[in-house]
Amino acid sequence: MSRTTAGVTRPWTPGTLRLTLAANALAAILLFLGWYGAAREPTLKDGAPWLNLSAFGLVLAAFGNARLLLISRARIGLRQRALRRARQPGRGNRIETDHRRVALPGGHLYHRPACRLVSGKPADVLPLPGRTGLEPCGWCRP
Amino acid sequence: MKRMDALRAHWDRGLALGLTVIGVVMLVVGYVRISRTPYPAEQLPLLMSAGVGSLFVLGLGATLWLSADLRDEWHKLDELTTISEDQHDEWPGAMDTVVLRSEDGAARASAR
Repeated sequence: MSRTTAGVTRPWTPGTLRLTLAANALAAILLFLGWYGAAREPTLKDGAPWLNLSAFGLVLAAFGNARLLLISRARIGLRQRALRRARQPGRGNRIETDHRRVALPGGHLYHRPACRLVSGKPADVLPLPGRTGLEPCGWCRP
Repeated sequence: MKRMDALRAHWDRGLALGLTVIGVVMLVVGYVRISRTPYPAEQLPLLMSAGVGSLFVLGLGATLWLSADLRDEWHKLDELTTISEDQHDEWPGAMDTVVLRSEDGAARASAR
């Protein structure tokens, strides 16, 4: 995850926020209109359309709020996944160019050369890792 | 002073709490006033202002509270990203290098 994305101080986009504010403002207007219209009607039957209007306003506000929260949640999820990938080298966060597999002398696992568990240690290159009887490392998942 | 700082930092949570209280008061007042009138046509405006209106206000409060939680989570991710990048800068290559020994016994370093 780049610092540019991390520099954004809110999980929602400006467009999402604008839409949410617009939806809530419109909902407030519709609620007021509904109340004002219903207060002037003498019978329940005449007031029903105004009730529908305010109910529509409520749905509009709920849509705007839910959209903001869901988009924010999704963006946070994306960042969490990116961060998790970035903290686990050799787990597929980049295109693998080194197809060799290595193993430590006397070890029972084989690894990617970039695996943290073999970093800085003398390791043997395995020509055919699948046929050596060694098991794949659970960390780098070769 | 500390209270003011906390309020400034958590203005959205404060607003959410305020809206929730207002919503609950609107509900109670609406209930009391509706129960006092026998005419449905008179109850309808009260239902819309106190009932639907309070739902709107409570929804707004809940959204503010949840968005404050999401914002905190976002800031925590900012911190974790910075820590992660700093750690990577501190040990350049230490985790990226493995000493490979080929079959002929020659050792060489391999960088990612």
